[in-house]
Amino acid sequence: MDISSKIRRCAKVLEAEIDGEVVLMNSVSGSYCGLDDIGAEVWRQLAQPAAVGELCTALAGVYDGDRATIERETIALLQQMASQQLIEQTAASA
Amino acid sequence: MTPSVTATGQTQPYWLCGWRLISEPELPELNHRDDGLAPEISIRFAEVPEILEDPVVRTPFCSVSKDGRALITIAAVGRFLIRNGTEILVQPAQSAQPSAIRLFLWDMAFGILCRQRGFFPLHASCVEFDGEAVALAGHSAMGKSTLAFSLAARGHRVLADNVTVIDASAPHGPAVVPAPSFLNLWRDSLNNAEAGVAFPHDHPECMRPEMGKYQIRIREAPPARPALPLRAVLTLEFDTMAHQPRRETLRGLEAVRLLTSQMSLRRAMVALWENDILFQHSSRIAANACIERLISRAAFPELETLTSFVETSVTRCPLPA
Repeated sequence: MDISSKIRRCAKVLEAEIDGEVVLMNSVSGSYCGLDDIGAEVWRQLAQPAAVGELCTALAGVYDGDRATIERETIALLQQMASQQLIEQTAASA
Repeated sequence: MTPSVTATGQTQPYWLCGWRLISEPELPELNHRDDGLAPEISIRFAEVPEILEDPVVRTPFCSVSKDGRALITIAAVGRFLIRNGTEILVQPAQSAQPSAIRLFLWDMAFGILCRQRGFFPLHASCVEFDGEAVALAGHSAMGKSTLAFSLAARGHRVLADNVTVIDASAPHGPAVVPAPSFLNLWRDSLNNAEAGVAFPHDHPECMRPEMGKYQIRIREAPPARPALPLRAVLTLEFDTMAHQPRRETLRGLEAVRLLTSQMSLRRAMVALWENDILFQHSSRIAANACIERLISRAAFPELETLTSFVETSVTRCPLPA
């Protein structure tokens, strides 16, 4: 996964907001995940498929931090979410 | 000595959680029904297979088939086949006592039936606080029933024992459907708890001598409403190092995980859910009720202290956001 990767939410993921926390469940695997504030913002930004670079630009507008740090931490978060089958890569943008 | 079970083919009509039931086994826990309408649920004596074909899950006592039927097998008591949320077939073991059959009917088969009928069966006793339901959850022998008994002695109506029936889809928020009003207590709990009890109840019935389990049926008018809003789920835990009881509020993912871990017959029950339905139910309950751990050093030696702590905790439960 890199800046040009295009990602989207997995189709079979359910979400619920409970006491301000976004809780996700992959309905195929049955696995649960709770998102912190940043994870929840990433999830909201992925309401539509987006390239990682676009996502980082959106997050930079919300959170303080240099671009390189935001990119590095966002990719790490996305990789974790992908490993839990919450998001997936589509065809990379040209 | 109570005679062992004999199938007669005769049934009696009862009310069960507002459902119309006919039952071949006599069920003194339930109120009789005289509306003459067709039943929604039947409990009958019949041959029950020893195993299910193609089980998707099998535990020491329970197996579940692909089509959602559940088979419960209890040595020296009998087998229960629960299907479609409308039927429980019971094949008693030779010399099984009626009380033993009822014990496992309520402890196990009832929870399965409720799930098949679309409800969330929580492994909990439940009492009423000012028109709302408070469930007392926890693993077996944590003192749920004993604590419910102690709260009942202070005027809190018993809404359920061992299986709390939650309608997670109720229009105004998750609600508890009152179940048969009894408590199954261990002999030492009964001895410790019964002194000074003022609420009306039948003389304790010994359900299973070898287990030392007794049933107290509570005689009072049922709640005015068919379902009470679920205020809180309090999960009892012990910590021998705890100097005094304390509470921990759970939110979000922690609350959802605790609820699913406290489902009645959890391993078998998970097989009876589609994942998305389970998530919908558990997340709705977590979002609308106060989910807490109550941690104390022990239940029985400090029962009065724990009971007071529960009463205080309920008043301090944070309301949903």
